[in-house]
Amino acid sequence: MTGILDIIRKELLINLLSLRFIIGLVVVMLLIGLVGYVLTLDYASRRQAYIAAAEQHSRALEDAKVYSTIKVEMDIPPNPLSLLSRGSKDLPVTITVSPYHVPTILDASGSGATISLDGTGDLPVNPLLRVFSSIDVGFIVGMIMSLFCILLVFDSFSGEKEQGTLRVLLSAPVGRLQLLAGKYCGALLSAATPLTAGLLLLVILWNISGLVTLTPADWLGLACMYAASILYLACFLALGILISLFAEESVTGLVHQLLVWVVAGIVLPAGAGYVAEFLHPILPETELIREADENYGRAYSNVRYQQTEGSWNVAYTDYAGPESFLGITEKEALNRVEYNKIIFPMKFALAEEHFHIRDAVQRSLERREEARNSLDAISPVAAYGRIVRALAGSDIGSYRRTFAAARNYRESLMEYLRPKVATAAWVTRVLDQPELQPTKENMSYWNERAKKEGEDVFLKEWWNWSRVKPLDLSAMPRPNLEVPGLRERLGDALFPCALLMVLTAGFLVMAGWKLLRYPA
Amino acid sequence: MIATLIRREFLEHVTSLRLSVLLIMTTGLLVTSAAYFSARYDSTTTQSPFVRPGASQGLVDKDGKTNLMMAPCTGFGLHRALSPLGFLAGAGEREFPDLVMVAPHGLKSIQRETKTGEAFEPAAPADWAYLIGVILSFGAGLLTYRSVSGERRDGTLAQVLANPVPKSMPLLAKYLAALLALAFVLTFAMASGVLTLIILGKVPLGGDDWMKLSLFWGTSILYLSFFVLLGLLSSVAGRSPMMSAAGFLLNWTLLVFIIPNLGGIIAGFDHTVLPPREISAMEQAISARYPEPPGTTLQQSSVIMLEREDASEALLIQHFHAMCGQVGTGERFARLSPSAVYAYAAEATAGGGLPRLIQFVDNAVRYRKGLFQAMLDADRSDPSSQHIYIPYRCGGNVFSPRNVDLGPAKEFRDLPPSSGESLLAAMWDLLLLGVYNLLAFAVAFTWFLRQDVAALPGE
Amino acid sequence: MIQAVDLTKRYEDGNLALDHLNLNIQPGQIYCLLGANGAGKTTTINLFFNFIEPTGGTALINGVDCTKDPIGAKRHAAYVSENVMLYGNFTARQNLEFFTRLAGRRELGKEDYYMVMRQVGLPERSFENRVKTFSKGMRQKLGIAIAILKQAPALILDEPTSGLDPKAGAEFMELLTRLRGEGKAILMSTHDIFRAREVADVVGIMKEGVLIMEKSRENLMYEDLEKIYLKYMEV
Repeated sequence: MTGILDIIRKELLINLLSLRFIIGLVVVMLLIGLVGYVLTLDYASRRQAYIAAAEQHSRALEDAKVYSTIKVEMDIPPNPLSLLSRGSKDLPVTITVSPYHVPTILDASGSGATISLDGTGDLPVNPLLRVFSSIDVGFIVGMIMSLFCILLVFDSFSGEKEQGTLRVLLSAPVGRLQLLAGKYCGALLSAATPLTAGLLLLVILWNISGLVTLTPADWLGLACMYAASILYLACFLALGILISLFAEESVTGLVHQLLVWVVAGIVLPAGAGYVAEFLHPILPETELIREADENYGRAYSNVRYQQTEGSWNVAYTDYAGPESFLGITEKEALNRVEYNKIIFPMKFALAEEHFHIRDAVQRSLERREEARNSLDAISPVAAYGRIVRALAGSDIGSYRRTFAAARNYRESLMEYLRPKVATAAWVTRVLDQPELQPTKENMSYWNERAKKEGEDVFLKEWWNWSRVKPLDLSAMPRPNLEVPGLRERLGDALFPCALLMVLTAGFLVMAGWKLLRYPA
Repeated sequence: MIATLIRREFLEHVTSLRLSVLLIMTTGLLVTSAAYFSARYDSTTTQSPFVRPGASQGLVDKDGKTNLMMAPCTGFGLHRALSPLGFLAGAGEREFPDLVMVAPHGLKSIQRETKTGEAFEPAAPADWAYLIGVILSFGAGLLTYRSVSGERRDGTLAQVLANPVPKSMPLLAKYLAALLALAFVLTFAMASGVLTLIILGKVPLGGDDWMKLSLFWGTSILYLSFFVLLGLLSSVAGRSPMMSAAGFLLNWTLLVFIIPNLGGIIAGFDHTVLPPREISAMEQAISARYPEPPGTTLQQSSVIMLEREDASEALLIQHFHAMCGQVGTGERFARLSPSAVYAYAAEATAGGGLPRLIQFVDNAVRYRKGLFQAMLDADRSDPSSQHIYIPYRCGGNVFSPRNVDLGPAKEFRDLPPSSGESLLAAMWDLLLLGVYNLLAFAVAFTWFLRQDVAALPGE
Repeated sequence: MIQAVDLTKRYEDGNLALDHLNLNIQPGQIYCLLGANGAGKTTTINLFFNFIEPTGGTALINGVDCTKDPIGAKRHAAYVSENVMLYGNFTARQNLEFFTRLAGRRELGKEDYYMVMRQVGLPERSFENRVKTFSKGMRQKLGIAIAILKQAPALILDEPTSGLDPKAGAEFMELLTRLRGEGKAILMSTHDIFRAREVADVVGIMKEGVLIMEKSRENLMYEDLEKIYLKYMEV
């Protein structure tokens, strides 16, 4: 047993004192520091934007005047762990729930991808910067630290063999497997050093800046990420040692490992993406939706034609906002209710139909994702990426859950809203405001004022919607977006984790097998 | 003499496993990448703002006449023409805005159309420039890292130089042979990819595209030449093949992965882009500068509005240019790495990148002005028309019901740049690549020439 | 033919490897350079091929200054190193062809190469085998074949027999004497006193960069070279 500890100590010392370790440490620390700093700022701005948007959206709800315009914007709180894995640049930040729209992950559209003159954030946003590929801690560990691992172990056996120290080592009363275990543990400790130091640096940065506060669950998630990263490094080290045992010469070992690295990190993921696309093409969303819309349009015209035959002209302004319905008569308003009872359920049905189409498209998207995952399953880089994204909540699974929660909320919202279609308050409040109906007396009053103050009076006062009190929405279910908790995210990370473990164990077993037959 | 040396080096490469692996890997990836592009290209080929569904319904009718009554006041979309060569370097085209919303009286916004499921696409833009940029540059190192240090260690270098050949000749031969081998891989892989495109037949490749493809080929060779030289340099500088390999690896990681990826982060330190809140405050300030006092008639109000719209458009374009400037800062930093230079040159060749984006927005503004002028002219010819007042609440019945000919403004012309324009756009990057090459060449050769051929005694 | 005039080399680390060496080797003469490790033998040879630059003096081959016109000088000299390393992935014939073409002879055909390989005593079946499968003796023979095909009047060998088994060593020496018979000037550094005595026309002993003794074959005839060598080394 002491033999192993001695070997570990020797390996660790040799590694820690080597130039490659110091270069690796400096590079990794610098990168994590720089990237962590920038991503912390990014997180802070997303957090700020989230708070501002949530406030604005809850206020918008308070201002609702009619039921038909109720639209709930649910803001997805940014996950502090997304600092470590930012995921795609286009992940959704807001989910819109309305009677006419069922949310799916296809709603994901670039936050701030539009350059225009309106906006509220206090931090500059530049959608053009997306052209730079995003680099996060997951990338640094996944690509750079795996290279570092290769550099650590590429010559672990071949180098000692070339120097002749392997014979000396083996002449000592130490089993070959013990030697392997010692070397492996020593390398793992060395590889873990920059990672640990980098993450510590990050945590200190968060504490000092006060920009990031972590809940206990976040800490746990962070710990899981750390563990997953160690596992990933362990996998690469095992692979490295294995290849070093097969290499005739240290250099060829290094080159072979680099080739494996390129294949695992670039070739396999890229190739898997292409192949998955062919296996599971994404359904053409816009075409399917257009088809559904055309069908709906025909049905709608029919209904409208039958319903509106000479009865009321207000129906023709169906596309206009509720403002248009202030200046109507009581009779018109009541007719309108009858009309709504037919038209709006159709709109709801259309939303459902859209959802079914989008759901199919979403499932095709998920199938593609699954195909990609199984195609590059053998690549530790891809598996690690999946783990980190799952833990950071920036993968497709997390968003699917979030959107499902939003849909559940929509169900309860619809339960509340459906009966309201049969009330005038669905589109107009003119019954609450008799002075706004175009009766003879009212008309002459307003015409009088228009003569004195100008035509604008009609717009500015008569049809002025702000004079109407907001609805009482106390009975409406409150939006409450539950983002997937750590347990669900861990569940998503479980399979790739197991995969990494199996790969690592496999590499180690093969290395042991080879070492027992290794000619010193 | 040099031919003999090159022949030997080339033979050595061709018979080696590494080159076959490189060839298979590169060809496979380029072919799948091309097929992938082709599969997607189909759904995104429509370019005209008038044909695209939902873009600007009914602005132009079947006879090519325009009913200005339908000119949408909220703006309609002008789409960027897609380059059929997007597979070469798609990042600039995929990530940058491809849609400008314009109203006759002003630019409204510059945006990017999101495609289905885009949010969950893999982050790495695996276009040809990326694949070549990563894999073949790595291959350049594979072919060269041990060429000098290995031969010096083995003694074959001395054996060669015992013959009447100039000292620089073996290095030159190694350079040319490795480049030749890579050129072979590149040409084969590219030809296979292009052949795939032709067979699939969905991407129309015109005459000018062949010029651009050749330009891309040349750029790639220039880029790979740098990495061959870097490999040789590592090989000259390293005392052993291992040191050479480690040296090359370190530099390669730095140049291919780290520096280009830091561009976005460095750009973040450029604070020329104002926060959205300040921008919207500036827009409100513009509104305040053009007040509508009580008693303003509709016509007066519209004139004021047009001035306001002009100022707003100027602000939007200024804001947009600030953003471009910020990207430029990041790109300038990234240009420290030949990989980034290569990516930008490839982008320019393929018809993407920042200059192309600016050109596209310029085109949209020009079109917008033409359309607006056409409306004014239409107004003059039809006294009952008030198209110019379109900004004013866009409703009512003051618009001309007549169809008028919009003339040149009928069609939004935004073509991908020609091969000449592409070359011009890529010129600086090509020059920079050339400079990097010269630098690496000079360092590698002087270092080699100053070095003793034989290993030092005791080594 | 092979000539050194006050040839001096001081390495960058200050080590004086060669101190005013004077040599003159005539055509048809074998000159054996003896000395301990680090005495300056290999440095001398490296200087003739301009593998390193001298800090003083001149090295001449066939009257051509090896520093001023290295290419011209190398045209007249062939080189066999201590451990002839050739391109392992190439066959013997391919290596031979490559180096011969480098030497400037491009008119030869396969048979010419085979003939030379036969001449140096390589087994027929190894002609088209990869060199990485060759033993050291075979590689040295191939090295000599390369040198022969170069048809250079001067032949410079750096400890060509070290590590060869006795039989291979003897065959190698036989080859050398045959080449001497063809009128080549041969400079050979070696540790092998017995072989030196057998074949050398002139023997030089080097110590710490200085040629401390030079004796012709006639003068050596009745002396015990080993004793002389050890005597000089002790001083």
